[in-house]
Amino acid sequence: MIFRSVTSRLVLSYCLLLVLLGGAFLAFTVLSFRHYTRETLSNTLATRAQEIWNISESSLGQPQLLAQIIDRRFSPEAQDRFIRIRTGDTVLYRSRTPIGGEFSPLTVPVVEPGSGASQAMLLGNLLLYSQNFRDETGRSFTVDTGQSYLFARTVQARLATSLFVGLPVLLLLAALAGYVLMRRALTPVEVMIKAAETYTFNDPHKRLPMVGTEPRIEALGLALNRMLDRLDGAYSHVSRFSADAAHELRTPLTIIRGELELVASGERLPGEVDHAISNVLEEMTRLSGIVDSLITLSRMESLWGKQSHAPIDLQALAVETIDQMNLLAEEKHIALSRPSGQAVIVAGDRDRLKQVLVNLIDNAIKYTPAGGRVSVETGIEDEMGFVTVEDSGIGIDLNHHDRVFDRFYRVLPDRGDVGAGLGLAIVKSICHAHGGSVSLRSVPEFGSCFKVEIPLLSAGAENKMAAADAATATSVSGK
Amino acid sequence: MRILIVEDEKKLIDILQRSLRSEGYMVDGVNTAADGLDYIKTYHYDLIILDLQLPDGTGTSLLKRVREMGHTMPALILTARSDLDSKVENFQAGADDYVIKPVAMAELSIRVQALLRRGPALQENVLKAGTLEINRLTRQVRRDGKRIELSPKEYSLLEYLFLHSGRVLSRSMIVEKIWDQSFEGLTNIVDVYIGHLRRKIDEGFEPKMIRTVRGLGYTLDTEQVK
Repeated sequence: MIFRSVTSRLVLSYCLLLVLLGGAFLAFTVLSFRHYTRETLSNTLATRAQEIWNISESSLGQPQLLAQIIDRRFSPEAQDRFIRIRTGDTVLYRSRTPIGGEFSPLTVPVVEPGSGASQAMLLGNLLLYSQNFRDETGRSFTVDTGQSYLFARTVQARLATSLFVGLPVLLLLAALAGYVLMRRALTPVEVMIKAAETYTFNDPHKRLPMVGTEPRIEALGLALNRMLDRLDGAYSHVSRFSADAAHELRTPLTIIRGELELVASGERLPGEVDHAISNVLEEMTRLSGIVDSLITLSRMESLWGKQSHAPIDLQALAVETIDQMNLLAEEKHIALSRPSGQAVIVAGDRDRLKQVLVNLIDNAIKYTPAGGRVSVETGIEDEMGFVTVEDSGIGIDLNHHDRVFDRFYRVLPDRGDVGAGLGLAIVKSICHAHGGSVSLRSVPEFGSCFKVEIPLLSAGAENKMAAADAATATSVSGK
Repeated sequence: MRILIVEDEKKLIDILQRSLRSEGYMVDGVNTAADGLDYIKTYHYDLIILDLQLPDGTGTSLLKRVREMGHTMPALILTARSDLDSKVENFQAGADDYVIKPVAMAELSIRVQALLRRGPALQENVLKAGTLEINRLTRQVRRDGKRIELSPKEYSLLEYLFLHSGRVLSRSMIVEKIWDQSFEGLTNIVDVYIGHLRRKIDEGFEPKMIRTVRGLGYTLDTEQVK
């Protein structure tokens, strides 16, 4: 999960790049240093071989003198050096074991330099250089000179170790710093995400906040805000359109209905005509119901967030509604149970909240087979008043859960109900207008449970409302 | 009784005229606010029916003018606007009733009748039709002398049907009267209650009094039992 964020991915990829580059750098450094030390030492040995030959050429016949000259000049034991002069297999001079004891001069093998007349090679801790020389008589001598390689080895190992340890530490620091820097650079994005998450059409004028750090991010925020403007425009256009359309339908509906009623209530009509007119009138009633529902919906949407609220007891309202609807349940032999418990005072519009209860209970009765049960509960949870309407009905398949609250959506498309699939859409829009919500839990074949949540009335709001109530009560009393 | 209708839709005026004339009213219809004002200045009307959206102004401003001129006849607003603000505004302007389209003609004529206070004077405490007897003080109902137990809702429904006997009451009228607005669109509740009422009032008795008029609603037939 964490590897899916831009920050982590970015840090991860540049760390990977650092590892590759660091690895290459490390390998190159270690190898070239090794090569360099060996080359330098070989060159030194070559020079020394020449020097040895120069000072020893005249004394080759006198081993005592030869040893004296070389020891005085090169002191091989003290300097960890190896010097050997031979002709063929006959050794004319050989240095003694050095003080450090890195190598044993007696075991150093005889290696013929071959055609190149000189050759450097590594034998254990000894870098050995052999070179052939000829004296005036044309006799061939070989000067073997060597130097302990232990020190060079130690330096190489030190370098490698410090690089192997240092690079990962460096990498870790770079990753950490990069992550922190990226997070800081992305702070405006976090702020925007938080704001965008809370955006709803309840508060259509809310926009993303601009935190001016990174011009591209600011540009993104501005672009998103312009998109919200356009969406708002389109949304209110659609909403207004459905309200206007429904509105315009009312007058023609009145005329059609009126004409039919006059025909139907006039002189006796032939059976088929009477039947046809009755059918049309019934459909007209349904059509009027849909028009009313659409207008209710768009009015609720325009009220989102500015609904006028009075204190309403959800528990008492539920009991009252159930008493009025009990006969509907009795007809189907469904046990409709009343909520028990204390009063749940929320802020709301009584008629609208009752409509929510009526729609939910009516649905529950409709979709529960005879002999089932519908139970209504009310209570308080997380500062919200809630009502649940649970039935033992046919349930709603999970595929439909998101869409049951959509306009004109029906789980069973062939049902000829008056509501035309607007009942739950109205429930949802009323809940939203109250700053609440409605949700569904359902198991097919076992039943459904709708839960409505409405914010509780706050103590401060109560007083304000009492005053507002008194004001509206006088203005409506003319009705 | 003379009624004026101010409504921009000619066809609607035609239907309203035919419907109200069949009830015995004299009905004039005009399409504009200006014509409406002229007619009101010229003739005496017992009731005016106003649409809110007129080609040359609103029904509300026309109503205000009429009230300013001192006319006190009842005014009924017939409109497609169903918002509370519009209702409040018009009642404040002097409207006496507010009806939202589409409306059943039966409902409109009942409302007109109520505004004109011309309905049968049903102030008696005991309503009688044939063998059906309703005591409005004790809320007791008898048929053929037998006491019938009704729930409060069933009683209200029967009384409402009786007070408008002979007229067809639509389901939405009944819902609005006996329940409340929240039950709009839930008209099968009416069918259920009518079913129960029928079982108590009509089952085992002759003739049957509660009649279903398909597509329109229900009516209590008191004529045939007299």
